[in-house]
Amino acid sequence: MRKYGLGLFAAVLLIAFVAAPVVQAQVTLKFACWDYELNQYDKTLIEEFERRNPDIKVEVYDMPASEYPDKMLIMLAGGEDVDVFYAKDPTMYGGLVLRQQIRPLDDLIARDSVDLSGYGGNLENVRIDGKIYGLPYRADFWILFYNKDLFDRFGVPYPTNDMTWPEFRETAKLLTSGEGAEKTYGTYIHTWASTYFVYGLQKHMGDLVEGPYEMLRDGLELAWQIQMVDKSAADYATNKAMGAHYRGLFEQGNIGMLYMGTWYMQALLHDAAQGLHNVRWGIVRLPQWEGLPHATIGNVTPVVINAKTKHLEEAWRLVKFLSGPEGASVLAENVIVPGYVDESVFETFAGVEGFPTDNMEALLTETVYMEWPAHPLSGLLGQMVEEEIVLAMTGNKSIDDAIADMEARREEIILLNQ
Amino acid sequence: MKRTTRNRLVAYSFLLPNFIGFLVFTLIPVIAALGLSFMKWDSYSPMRFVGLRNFQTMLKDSSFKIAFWNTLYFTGLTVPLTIVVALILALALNKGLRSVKVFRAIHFFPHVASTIAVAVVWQFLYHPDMGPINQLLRLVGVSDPPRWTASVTWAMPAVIIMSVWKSAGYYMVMFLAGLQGIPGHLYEVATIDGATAWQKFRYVTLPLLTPTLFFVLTMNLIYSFKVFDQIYIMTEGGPGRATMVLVYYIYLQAFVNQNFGYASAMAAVFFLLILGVTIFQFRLQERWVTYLD
Repeated sequence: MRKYGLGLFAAVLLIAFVAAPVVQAQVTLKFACWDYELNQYDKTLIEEFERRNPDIKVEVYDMPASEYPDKMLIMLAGGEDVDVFYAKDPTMYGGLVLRQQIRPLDDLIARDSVDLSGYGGNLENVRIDGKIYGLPYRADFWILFYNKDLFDRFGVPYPTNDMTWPEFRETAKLLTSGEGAEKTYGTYIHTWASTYFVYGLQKHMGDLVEGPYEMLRDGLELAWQIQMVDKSAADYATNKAMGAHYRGLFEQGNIGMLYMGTWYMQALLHDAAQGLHNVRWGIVRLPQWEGLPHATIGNVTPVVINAKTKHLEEAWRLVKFLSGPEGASVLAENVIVPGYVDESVFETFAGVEGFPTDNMEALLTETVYMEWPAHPLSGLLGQMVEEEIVLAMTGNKSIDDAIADMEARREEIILLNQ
Repeated sequence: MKRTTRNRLVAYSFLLPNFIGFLVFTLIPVIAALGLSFMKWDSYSPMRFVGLRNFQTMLKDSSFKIAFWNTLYFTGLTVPLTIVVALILALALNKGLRSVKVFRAIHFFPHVASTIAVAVVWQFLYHPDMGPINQLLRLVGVSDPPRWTASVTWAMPAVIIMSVWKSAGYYMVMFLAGLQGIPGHLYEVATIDGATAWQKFRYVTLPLLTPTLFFVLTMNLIYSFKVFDQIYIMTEGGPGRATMVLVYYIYLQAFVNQNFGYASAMAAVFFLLILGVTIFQFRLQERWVTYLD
């Protein structure tokens, strides 16, 4: 045995000597994201990056999605040396820029002559004061999901890409019937404030920081009519008290239509693969207002570099990889809309088992407005707008009063935060 | 070294570990927060001294005013209700019987359960259409029961009812301890003198229970001012701002809006409010609290 022991010892020494130069040359990058283990696609990306860049090792900080913006902020404030991370949404991104926590990338983009054409309109949403502080990694936007089985059962024609909101309401009525376990609802309106203001942003009247809140009126009226008059969707208070979630509800198969972000495509396929549902689903563009050009609402997730990074070159390589064609192809295989879009993305989508290929045009966008712009007051105004929407949707306040109060409270917030 | 000095040093050395903990985790943060209240700080950019501006903002901030009044509303109803319920429970269960112990345990149980878990369950109980509470109300003929957490008028009462239920059992135990501390011979004397049950309560029980009552009142006031968990889970301060209370608003400003200076300023005002009420209580105690020699 002793002989073997000695041999083993020698082998270990040998490996250590051989491996040592490689280990020493390696740079360790710290990278933060959310749901790394849960979602797997970031893991696929990081592992692929490490394989292609043997001189870089990536240490991952994995956080739950809901806590990500807060935790990230605390880590940065505490001087944690995260090199590369995602800015989850424009509000977080705007805050990072405002506090100069992330580095403008324009010089690096120019130096390496990075082809930006693949980012299309997404690029405008990461440009602040003429500078690009992050490259779009994901770019989700709202579409309409529908349950083909339910439409077939009621003999209602499937929605089309040019559906208007009044048509949406009428269709929802046709799909509502039954009681108890047999109950079907035309639609489900999720309890996020954004679900109630997407229609307003489609009016092309500006954003929720600077535009008039009058833009929200028709949408709030529509949601109110659907929930309280037609009763073709459960009302806000019911959904809130039940802690309702769109994913479970739509997958139970008794919701006809659901307007939601493109991020839900991946979850639908995932849940079907897990045997959690067998809904035959389809997608069309987000319904629109008659006579107005089509617009949808979106959310860009840029990948950014900490202004204090000590490994700028390596960090920049990771950013280019995640937000470029390589990152896009991995995301596309997971049916996630990447920030960098070319034809291959849609081809990849269409090739995924279970993806509805009958209407790929649903994923073509012309105008994508951000839910909240990258503005320092987005957080405070978001809280306020949500409060007023809830008051109107629970019948505690008329829609007129809610809109008037939003205007008044915006004045107050601006005044108090000068 | 003099003997007394040495004794004193030994005593301090025993206190030291505890004091260091207090210093590091309580005193220094509190002083730092007080300093922060004169600053503008988002936790990242350099702090900026703004003098009294945070305090001036408070006077103009409608959300602060609403949160202030809501805190008083919550406390003003929760404290007396909790005390009355806890006292009634304690009086009813102040017997040596075996079955009584079971009831004591049952009433103490809500206090042991986590507030978060309990609030989630109550949120469901309060559901306007499908919640058991409204189903029961409809059954007994209330055709249009309150919409509880979905209604601006009823959201706060809903939180108050849940809070009373949650804490009454705890204060019941305090009162039970107080009741057991009343010497039995006083009741014998009262009986011999021909006192009725009510008179025994009014002139023996109640006066001798005042030290407990004082303790319960003080603790309950402080806890009610600090209300947060129930609000966070059940209503998120809504609908609108109907259940926005001070601690929740401080939390929003600090950790959602990164407005640490303003949040600290509100916390300072909040601290003064609690301190004032507590001092007032201690002053008042001489008038109504009876201590048995």
